Amino acid sequence: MTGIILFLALAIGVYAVAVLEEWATTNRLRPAGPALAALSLLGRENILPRKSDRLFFEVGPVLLLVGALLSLAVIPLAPGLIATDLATGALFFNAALAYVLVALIMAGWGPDGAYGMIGGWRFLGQLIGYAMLVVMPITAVTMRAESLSTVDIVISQARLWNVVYQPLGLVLFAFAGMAMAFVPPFDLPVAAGDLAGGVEAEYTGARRLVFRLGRMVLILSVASAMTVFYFGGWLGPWLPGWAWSAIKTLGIAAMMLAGGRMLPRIREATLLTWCWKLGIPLALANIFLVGILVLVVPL
Amino acid sequence: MFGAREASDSIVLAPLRRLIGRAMARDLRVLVVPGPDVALAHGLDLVAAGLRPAANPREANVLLLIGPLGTQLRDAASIAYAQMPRPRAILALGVSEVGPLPAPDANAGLSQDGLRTAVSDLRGLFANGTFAPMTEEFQAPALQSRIEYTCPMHPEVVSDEPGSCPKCGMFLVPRETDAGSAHDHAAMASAMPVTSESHHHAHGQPAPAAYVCPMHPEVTSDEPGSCPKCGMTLVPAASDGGDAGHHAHGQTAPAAYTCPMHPEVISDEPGSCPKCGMTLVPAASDEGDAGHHAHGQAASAAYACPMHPEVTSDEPGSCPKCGMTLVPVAPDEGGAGHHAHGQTAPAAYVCPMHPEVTSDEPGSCPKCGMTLVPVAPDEGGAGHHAHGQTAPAAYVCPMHPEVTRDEPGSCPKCGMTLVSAASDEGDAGHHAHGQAASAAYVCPMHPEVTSDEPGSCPKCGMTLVPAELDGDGGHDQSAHGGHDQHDSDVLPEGIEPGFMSMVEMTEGTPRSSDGLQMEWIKAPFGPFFPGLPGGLTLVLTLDGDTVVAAETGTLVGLADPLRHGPLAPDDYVAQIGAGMPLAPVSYQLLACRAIEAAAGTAPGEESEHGRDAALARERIASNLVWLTQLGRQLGLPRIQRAASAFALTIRHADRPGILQQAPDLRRLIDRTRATPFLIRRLAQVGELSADADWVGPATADPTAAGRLVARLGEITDSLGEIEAATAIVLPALAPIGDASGHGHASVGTPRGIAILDVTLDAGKVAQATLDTPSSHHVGLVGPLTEQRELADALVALASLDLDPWEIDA
Repeated sequence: MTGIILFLALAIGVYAVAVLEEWATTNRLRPAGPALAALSLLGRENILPRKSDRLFFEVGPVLLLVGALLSLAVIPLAPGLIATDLATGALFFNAALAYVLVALIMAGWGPDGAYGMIGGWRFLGQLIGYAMLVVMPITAVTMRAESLSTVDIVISQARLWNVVYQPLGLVLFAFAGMAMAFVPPFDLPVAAGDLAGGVEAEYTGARRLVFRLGRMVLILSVASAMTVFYFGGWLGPWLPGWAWSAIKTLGIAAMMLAGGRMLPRIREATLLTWCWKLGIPLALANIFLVGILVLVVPL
Repeated sequence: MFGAREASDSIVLAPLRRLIGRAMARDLRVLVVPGPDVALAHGLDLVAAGLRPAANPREANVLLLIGPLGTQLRDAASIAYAQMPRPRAILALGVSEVGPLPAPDANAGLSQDGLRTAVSDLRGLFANGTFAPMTEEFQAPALQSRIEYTCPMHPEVVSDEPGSCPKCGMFLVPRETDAGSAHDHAAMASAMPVTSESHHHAHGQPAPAAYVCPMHPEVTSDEPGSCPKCGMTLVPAASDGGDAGHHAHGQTAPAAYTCPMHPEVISDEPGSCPKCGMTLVPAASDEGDAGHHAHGQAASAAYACPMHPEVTSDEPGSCPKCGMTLVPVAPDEGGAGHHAHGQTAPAAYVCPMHPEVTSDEPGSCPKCGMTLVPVAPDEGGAGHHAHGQTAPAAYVCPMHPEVTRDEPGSCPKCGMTLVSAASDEGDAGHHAHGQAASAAYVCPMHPEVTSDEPGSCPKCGMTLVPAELDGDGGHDQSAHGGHDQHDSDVLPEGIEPGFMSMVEMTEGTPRSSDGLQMEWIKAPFGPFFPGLPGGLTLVLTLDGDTVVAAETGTLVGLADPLRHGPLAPDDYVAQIGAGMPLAPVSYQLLACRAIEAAAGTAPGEESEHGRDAALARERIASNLVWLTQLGRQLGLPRIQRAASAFALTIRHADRPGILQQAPDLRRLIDRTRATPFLIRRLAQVGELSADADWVGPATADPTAAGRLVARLGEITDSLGEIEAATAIVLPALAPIGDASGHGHASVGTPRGIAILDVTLDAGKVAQATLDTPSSHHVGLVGPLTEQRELADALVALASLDLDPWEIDA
């Protein structure tokens, strides 16, 4: 039963993220848009580029989808509504999303096209920037919860959400998460304007559908992780827990998708500079501050 | 002709297919030929017509042709069409001739209404005919290739049919080549990376190949087989008309026998090597030495074994001694020949970390203990590299040697502080020399920080280290390639000459400015690349994601209206406007002014003001199209949407209409200026040098940010001009009769100053010379893109706002 509910939640969540994504790009809210686009992709030819590395080409999009789905397995929707409450959930979330890089490099390499390959490399550069900033804010979150379990992390925020307790961590995690989900302005690997679609460029038909689905799940996963780590997960008055989770996750996804559109695309070199010169010192300061708070202010 | 997707008539799947067809009819993604900017210039609103622009052909299902299209553009479009997944359709607006493309599925005039009706026709087609039992193939002629067969060992053996090599009997392997003039694989996504080496490969056609025993170099054979001495399989060895012995030549010019492992061991008689005990092998004793040998090869491309420098070949392959893949060596004067040469004669070794440490024998660096690596002597490669890079500049980035400045500052690529470089002819050695003469202590990180006393660096706090005090001493140790180092006696033994050295292995391969070797790829950007002007072709040679070289071209190009002979002035004005779809009014005005100057007539003052207002209106519209493209390229959809909406309405609006929109337009400009990080991002790219041939809007700031601000300022100024005028008057010629004469005019087009000289002969335009801004600016593409990161290079290119119709094809 839990499985069915979670699957439905996932399907609805991914669809909603796809609607939001189209809204952020075209400024039109078309509830039918993603369905039409998906059907249309299904109807199109599946082109296998000449000289492609077949294995990488086929595995890339699937791996992206699988990695993103795995990371969602440790996200609680409500008390008891979680695919698997691992004791090391917060760590597992990182581990699962490490495959995003592998998937993108494979998908970029596979078709033997310049755009895809450069897109893959760029994501590698991006990863070196954001990777530490995913882990370090989570460290501060788990310090407060004194547990790596995502359920414990939500419960630890019962009296005060982490967004107030450690706002600096939220900001850093939000940027890193956006870079990890390669949403604008960190969408270099799949940039239309300067890479003609990049990693996505050579995918058509059903393969492209899988790739796009994987990307939507990834965005959903990052948004729900922010909900769990900083916005108190299912906690909230009046409404049932799952509703709070859904509202918070979609709200965060909408802010991520729309907010990123305000900035010009950011090169991976700039991102590296920001992350390592500014982000990591701040993340260390955040860990230090939270450490003091945990000792001094028992909330 | 509708490019439906093949599917059998299945009753089970039919409803699903109908559903898919209907969905597809409502999800049309369009690839615009020549480009979305041209669509905007023609006043076509794709989104309002229900089309969504696609980033590349793979994403598109509609190919929108905006005519008229030249042959080259149609060829490129046919490649894009072939790359589009089926079902796919062609929508032609104002296009008469489409070949080699199949006939369009929907046709209409070049207008928004035409587009709207054509799109609804297409929707019907997609809804009902997405799948068809029978489909037609489309082969783009430009993509056609043929298969030829070649021997893996003898590249000169090429055949149209499979078979075996007449030389060695091996099976010929298939290889794909262009069928004809498929040189410009202009279109897009499937652009296969082409290694620059592969060009070389084709060159070095060997003469007769020989086979040689890997252990017994004296055993050679014209045919494959095994060694009579040891039974090992003979390996192919390339040589120019002789046996493998030739290779060993130069090491021992006057000697007869040499050790296969220790080329420095030479003897006049057979025997065994005193170092390793191997049997000495005969070496040639005639005049021909390895230097000669390699010289001959160097002209085309030579390859050498990284472990056995004496093994050279003029084609790629593997070393007959150790089986390692041969690496290319420098094809220029120096490199390979001298190099192989240098093993025993005047060879120099240098520390990879301390270029001033040189020795004429192998050994390790007294400073850091690293093993010395061989360098080519005097005229050779490595020395020259260091040389050329730092010659005239005063400051250089420690990470990006190509970044040089006359003044101190920081590197635009990595932000590191530039360090002073020797500005005289000297190389790295000179550099150290110059400092050492005066200073006693120097910062290990900041060579420009010197002091007479010990202390710490004011920049990084590191303790200063003693520098070579004595000027002459510094000179001796400097990296002069070590040719006058014969007196050096500190010679540790035991290093194989030609051990695995990165310097050697990568010598002669294309070298990035950062010194790292990567495979270079050539990738086309354009003619339908989103974010670049449609019709502009850009082929970038990429080293990783750094641009090494940029070739710009156009598939549309400047058309001379007078190519068929003299024209009546009115026809000339009309044709020059038609030939410039991105700025027709400016060029019509230019032609009118030049003809009026030639005929000695003048329009009334009223009409002159009206014309200026028309020019101002076009400038606003054109700058907005550019802003749309910039928004598309940088991922700023809000600016993109707003700018394109204004561009569409303003191009044909009258004065009151424009004034009504002016406040909103000014808000857009303010919002663009205030976009976070936009100006900072653009300020890092596209910096023009002071003497650049720039005729566009004047800017104080020579970067792309300056050009953005200047164009936004032009929009504001032009709004003011329209406010000041009483009406907008399109340029038109008054009758000039039979006037003859010469006229000169210039007009500030949206992209810069354009100049036209016309000669009238009995009332007809007989001669005209047109000078367009883009023809100047296209020369700036190289300096603005080379050695920049790809995204920066593309932004820099876009900031030039090139008009492909203004460039000579």
